Amino acid sequence: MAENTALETIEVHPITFPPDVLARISPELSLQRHLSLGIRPCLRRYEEFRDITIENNTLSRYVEKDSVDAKNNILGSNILKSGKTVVITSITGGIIEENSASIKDLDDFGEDELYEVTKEEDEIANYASIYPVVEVERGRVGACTDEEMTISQKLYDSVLHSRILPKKALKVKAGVRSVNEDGTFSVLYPDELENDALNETNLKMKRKWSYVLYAKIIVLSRTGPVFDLCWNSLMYALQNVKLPKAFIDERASDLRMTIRTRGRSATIRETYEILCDQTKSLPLMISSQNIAFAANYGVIELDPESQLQNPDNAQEEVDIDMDKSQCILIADLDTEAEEISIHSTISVIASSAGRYKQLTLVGAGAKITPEMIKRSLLLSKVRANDLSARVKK
Amino acid sequence: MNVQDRRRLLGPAAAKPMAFSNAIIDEQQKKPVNMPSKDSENGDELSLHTGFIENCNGSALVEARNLRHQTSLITAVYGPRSIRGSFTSQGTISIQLKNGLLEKYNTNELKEVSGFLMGIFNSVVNLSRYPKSGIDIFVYLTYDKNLQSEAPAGESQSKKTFSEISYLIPHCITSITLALADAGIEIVDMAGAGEANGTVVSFIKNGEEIVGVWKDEGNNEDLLESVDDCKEQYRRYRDLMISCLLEQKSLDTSSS
Amino acid sequence: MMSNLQFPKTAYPGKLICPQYSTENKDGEDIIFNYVCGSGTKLLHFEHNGRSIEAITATLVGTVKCEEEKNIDKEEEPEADQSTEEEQSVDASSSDVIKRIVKFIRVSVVPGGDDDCRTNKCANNDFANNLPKEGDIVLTRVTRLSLQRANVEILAVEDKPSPIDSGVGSNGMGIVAAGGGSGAATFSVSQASSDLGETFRGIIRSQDVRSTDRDRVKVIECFKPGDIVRAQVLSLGDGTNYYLTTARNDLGVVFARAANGAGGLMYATDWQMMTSPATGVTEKRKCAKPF
Repeated sequence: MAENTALETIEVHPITFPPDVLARISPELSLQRHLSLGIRPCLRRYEEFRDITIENNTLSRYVEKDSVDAKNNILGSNILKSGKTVVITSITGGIIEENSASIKDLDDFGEDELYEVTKEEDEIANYASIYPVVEVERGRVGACTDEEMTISQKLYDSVLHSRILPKKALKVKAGVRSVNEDGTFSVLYPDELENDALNETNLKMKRKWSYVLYAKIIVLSRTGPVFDLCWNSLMYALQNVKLPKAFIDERASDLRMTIRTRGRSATIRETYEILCDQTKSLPLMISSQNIAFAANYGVIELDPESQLQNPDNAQEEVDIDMDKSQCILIADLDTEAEEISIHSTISVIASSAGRYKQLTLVGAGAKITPEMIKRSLLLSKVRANDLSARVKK
Repeated sequence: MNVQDRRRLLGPAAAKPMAFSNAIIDEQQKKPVNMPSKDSENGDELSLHTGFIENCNGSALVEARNLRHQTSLITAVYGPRSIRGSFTSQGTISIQLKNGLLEKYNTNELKEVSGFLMGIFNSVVNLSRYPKSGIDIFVYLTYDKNLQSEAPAGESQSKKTFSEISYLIPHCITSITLALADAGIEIVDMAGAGEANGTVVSFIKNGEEIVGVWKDEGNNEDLLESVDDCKEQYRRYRDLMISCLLEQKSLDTSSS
Repeated sequence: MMSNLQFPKTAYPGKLICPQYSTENKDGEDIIFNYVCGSGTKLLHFEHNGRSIEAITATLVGTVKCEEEKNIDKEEEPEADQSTEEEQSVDASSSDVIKRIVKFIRVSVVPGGDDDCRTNKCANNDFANNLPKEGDIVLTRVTRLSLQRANVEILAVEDKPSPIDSGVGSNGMGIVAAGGGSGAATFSVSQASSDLGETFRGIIRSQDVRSTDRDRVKVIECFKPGDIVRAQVLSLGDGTNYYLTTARNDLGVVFARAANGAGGLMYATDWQMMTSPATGVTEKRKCAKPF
């Protein structure tokens, strides 16, 4: 490499390091060198995604068709491997008594009407979300990192606004357990046919419950940004969730209790219990057309200075290249070098049918052009198609 | 979710975890359908993997399955990392046990076990090679299932959980040893352990030296017998670990 | 053939490699092989059939390598030269008739296979067993400057990568795009105090920057934050910092960006000047002579 100054020409001696040492001391330079060869440090092409492998429902209590794992309270699960990264999602559930719904049951028409009006205004209120706890294992103890908190919140919001979980689907159709004359228990569910004969008032309960879903997402071997991996894993896990049927004891079914929620200690546990059936379960009815998959992209400017020159087109092009820089789009960011040097990112959540659920643009450094956004939207759709096809297999 | 960290999304406070009816299981729960094959009766089926976690220096996955349990443990070794504070001429080790998906063991139990493991590995790792640094070992009890059909409720429940965790300890030791070897951290020998009657004995040097003994309640008379049982298991685990490591290494050679 | 012993080719922790001494009688000469522990091995004490034995044992998985110590002459040597070895003198007293040769052989276990190409290139390519020690050349990044010294973090021991788990992905150092990474205050478990960061740190005192005119060093004219500096370890230092020096021609700044990181890469034009080829800007540094 030669360099011209006004006075003299100085020969610059390049300093050489082994590739992995260079990647450590100057990740940006290492990345630029790779990009100039048309590949990335992870040896993928610019727009190449990592392949994934998934295992659905292997951890949940309903793994086997004919029996349940009694001690297991996982309702649905997914293990997603993408490159070196492993994401383990397990979905557990809880039950909450609905306060807002009980307003509807009151005989006050005016309030009911008002309720309806506001409800229509805010359609998103018909949808629920899942409460995710993301744990990225990185050999630390102590407080959760802000990455974990950010991803959890983003997952929560995205599930809500993607309208995947209708509140309807989370309603508990509680059955009643009664003691027969011979001392055995039997449970009657409103949605089972043989219960037609049952006296309606017996099952008519003032109280309403709904399921609450929690997701625990463990990320092992994090090598790059993980939001889209967590999201995709959560999507797969949600699709195989089964909700256990729930029932309450007969003597409690018309028990009236005023609950004071003064602090967390005031629970309804003491008064009566709503229990879940060990064996019977129903699949969670999610709005499957809204299932979407996430992909992320980065935009980086090729630094003309750190290009590796091909010997054949060496001298003549150099001067022109120096001035205008070229931006490229990189799909599915991974590795430390990319994460540390690429600050402009595009994140898309799209369904295979081309319904776009979310688009996040972060511009910092390289300029994100409309063409790049278009391109990333297109790629996301293709990617979502590919990912959604995995479920059926 | 018994995570009480307010920085997490914990969901509505009034929600309570699903409680499954117990009365019905006892009638409905049949004997486990997928009993392991008879030939595994004498010991565990063990499967070992190393080096699959990228952001740590060494890792190991141990999956064990026998008539009673099915377990899978992931161990990650981080470090040697710089520590702050006063100068230390040799490395320090810390071992953390973490509940996996099924939050089965309480933290006190896990702390106790990790203290025990730390005692073992302080004498196994060649600490003098690592001045001013700390080696952090994380063991994730990813999956742990009791295959035995549940004993009629209530009976000696506390004892049960104790012997369950003592069952896990040998596998923890196996996986930590493997992960350390994978990380290239110097250890004087492949430490291993066996379990018998709630007693866990950990050995090095082909069973000549004992580096740790864990005893849960239970009968104490046959302690020596237990040691022999443990030694036998230790030898088996040790051979497995060595063959696993060498296989892994030869794979490395062929790929490069 | 360096030794009469058959060494195992591969080793795993706990594998006995050889005893501490072995002897051989050849052409009327007694050759004593004294095996010395290299990396990946440890001299351990064993009880075998009631006898206690000292043996060299592997502590790593890898290939056994043995090489004769270079600094000790292979030719006949009077015992006086090896006065460092106490055991030696005990043996020497018992026999005085036969001529004897003592050979020192360093036994080490190197990770990786026998024909591993990486092994040949940089013999010991894992950082775990290459913690910086006195005399090592390290690559560091400048984190803080003061009048008296430059604080640096050690990135790699020369030609050997640093641990994989100290990058952005695992500890969240550095700036990443919004929504990713982690800058949270999480600590290594072993960490005593609550200082952030995982990398090993070092100090270059102003009098250790260069070997001439040491009293008039201005640290700010030698380093800037973010520079990559090649330095040598003087001592393990205190609990927090290694003490480093750049007082040699081949030590100093190897990578630097102009205008405190805003500009392009600069190249050394002489030992205290760097130039950016794109803009022609020059800045002062204590440069390493390109090697």
